[in-house]
Amino acid sequence: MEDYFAFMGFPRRLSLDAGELQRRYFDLSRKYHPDFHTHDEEPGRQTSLEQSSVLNQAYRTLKDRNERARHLLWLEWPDLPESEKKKIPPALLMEVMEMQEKIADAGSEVDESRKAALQGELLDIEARLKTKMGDLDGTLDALATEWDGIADGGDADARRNLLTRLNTLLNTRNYLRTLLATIDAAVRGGQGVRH
Amino acid sequence: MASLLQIDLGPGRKRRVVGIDLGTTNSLVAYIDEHDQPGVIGADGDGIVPSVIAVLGQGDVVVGRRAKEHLFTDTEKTVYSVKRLMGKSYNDVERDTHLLSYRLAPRREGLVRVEIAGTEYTPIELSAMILRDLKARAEEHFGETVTAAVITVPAYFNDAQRQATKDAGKLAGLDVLRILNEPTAAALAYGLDQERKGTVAVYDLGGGTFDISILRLEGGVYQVLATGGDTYLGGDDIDQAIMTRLRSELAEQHGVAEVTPQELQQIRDAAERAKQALSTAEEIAMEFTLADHAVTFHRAFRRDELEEIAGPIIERTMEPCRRALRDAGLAAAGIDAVVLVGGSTRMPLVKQRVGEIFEREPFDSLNPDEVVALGAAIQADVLSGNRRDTLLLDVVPLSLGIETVGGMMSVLIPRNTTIPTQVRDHYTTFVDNQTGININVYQGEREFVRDNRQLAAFTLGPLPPLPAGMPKIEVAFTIDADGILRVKAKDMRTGTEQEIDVRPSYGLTEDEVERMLRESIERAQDDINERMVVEARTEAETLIQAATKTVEKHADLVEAGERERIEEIIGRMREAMHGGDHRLIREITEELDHVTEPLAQRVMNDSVQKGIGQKKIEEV
Repeated sequence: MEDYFAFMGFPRRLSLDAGELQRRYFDLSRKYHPDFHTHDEEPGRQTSLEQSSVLNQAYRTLKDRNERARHLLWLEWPDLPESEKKKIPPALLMEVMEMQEKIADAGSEVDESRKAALQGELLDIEARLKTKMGDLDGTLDALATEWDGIADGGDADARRNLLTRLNTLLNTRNYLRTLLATIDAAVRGGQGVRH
Repeated sequence: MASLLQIDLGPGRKRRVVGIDLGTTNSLVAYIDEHDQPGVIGADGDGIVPSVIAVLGQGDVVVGRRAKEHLFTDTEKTVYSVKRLMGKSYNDVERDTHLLSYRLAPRREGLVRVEIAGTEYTPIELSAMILRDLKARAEEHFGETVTAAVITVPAYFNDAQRQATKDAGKLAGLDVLRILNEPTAAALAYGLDQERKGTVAVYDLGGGTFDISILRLEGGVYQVLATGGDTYLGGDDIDQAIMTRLRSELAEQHGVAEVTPQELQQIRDAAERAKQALSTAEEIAMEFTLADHAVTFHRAFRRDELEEIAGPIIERTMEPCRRALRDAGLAAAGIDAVVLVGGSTRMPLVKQRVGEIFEREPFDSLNPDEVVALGAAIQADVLSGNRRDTLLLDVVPLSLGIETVGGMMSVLIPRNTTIPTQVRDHYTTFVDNQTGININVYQGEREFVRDNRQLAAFTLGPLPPLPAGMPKIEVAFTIDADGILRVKAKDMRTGTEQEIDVRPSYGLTEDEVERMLRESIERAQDDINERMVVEARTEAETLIQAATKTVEKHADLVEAGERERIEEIIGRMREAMHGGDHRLIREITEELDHVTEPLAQRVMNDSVQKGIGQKKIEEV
């Protein structure tokens, strides 16, 4: 995978100006897009196809702050162990178990009023999880300020500590998303998250 | 012509590339004129070429308005709505075959083929016939050969349908520089007009397909945010729903249970006309005569009845609209304008429903028939290097993934990803000395691959015998700017690369396209005699059947000696049909036709009078 920050000429920061990102995306598209290389000889057309593909992927990744953070983490800590990437945050474990129990109960409950009560409780859990999700946005803001503050400096330990916290945050967020989708599927019949 | 040509091209204009809207009902070809404005070739509405092909004999192909005339006379040799068959299997179209007045080749699997007078044609070949006609029109207009084109397809067309369209272009002798999405083309034409900007929804309901695309327009950039649709939903479905109602009325009121292909065509024509007329009229009088049954059918048709029939079909366009909004991350209020494209959007009910879902009055002052072709011409201009200010960023309409454990779909490229795009995936072996790895590629949104469309199946290998998990193969899945998949595999241990041809699992290989090209020429030359014999025999047989049936059914109208005369000719005809002289067969066919004419006339008069009571024929 490429360094999307470098590809689009940005420093490795968690904050990024959306307007500037879009401007660069359009400018680089005019440069790389196959539409402007139809008359090129090979390998020119192939290069345009590949550069343009990387650009589209880079834009898509950098545009979303969470994807951007995930990409930065990957670049800064390429040998982060697989197990660390998917670790379930302990703080969520209780929540998960309670939720799963209720979903199973609601599924097998035949009594309509008790089923409705269980679904109501699931909605309460959903509300709590959504609040947590909102809190994470605030935490990411704080982490971004901290990371962009030390920029390319700071000692190795401080950087590693920051990246560890970033990893936990991203894992938690991912996990919350899955939980919310599971509740949505159970309560409203929405589509679960595909793995 | 040379000097005229140069003036026409304008100073500094590069290669001539035309834009083609290959539609279900109508097709058009457009270009950019010397004032940089897009225009349709063929003035005064003459630019609209009905997408109808009459294959009257080998090498005798008629397209467009002239072919439409053959719908009633050579019903089984005249094909319409071929776009609905592009890239489709028999399963896909099964439910509608009884409503087609031409025949599909009798087979159960693989891609659909049309059978005309004993010869099978792929939808690709038939589409190529339309494209050849459009190419010829453009060449006549410019006085020079045209070799390159941009061809539009519904945004929701899958990989197989796009590839089929590209193959059709190739077969017609066109270098297809781009397969362009129809709503995107429409947005190009809309945006060029007064340099509009903002977030635009393009609602495109054509003859056979439906698309919804949401785009952001800004400073010459056309960025597609989301797209959705249904490639088997359009005006044809409304026609068929009307036909179904008419047929049940014919059965109830006139006892007509089965109809001939010609009669089916008449019913289809009546249904289509009624639908179109009711876009402006509140009520019309419908009337047609089924010659073979000698039944004249008439009834009043009101707009509210049409809307009751069409309502459920139009309703099916609503969910894709809602999903496209969701995918774009927008609410209806976030849409600045709604553009209507496609002939079916002329229906007041469509305008009303679109207005309701997007909470604003749709913009309908563009010509819904021409706007796609005009947009294709603009994109053609971009690709020929004349227009650097326009940038088009389109998306892939369907998710692309591979089959994993338990038949699940593992998505590699989600829908609405901007194209071109590429993902790399890594594969290895599960058992020792495994010589190959099977990869199945699918397109669609469902969780299990069996519910999605298979695009390709290929095997990575042959691999050298190694312990399980040792081989490391990187596969790059690329979706190019046409929305078509390309696959490349790389052995990470040796570094050897391999381009994988993913097309044979559904489309045509380069070899097949070449063979078809060759055959189409050979057929026309070498087999012409044989084909003409087959043709003549078929026609003769049809007439014999008709004559025999009439003589039996209307014995009371047969005059003295007439039966004997007819039987004598049929005897001679049967003999001639065993031989290979198509001229002799045709001669006798004409004789029989001539001799049975008075009887046919009497039968007609008789039935018409029975049908309408005591009215005179002149009053009908």
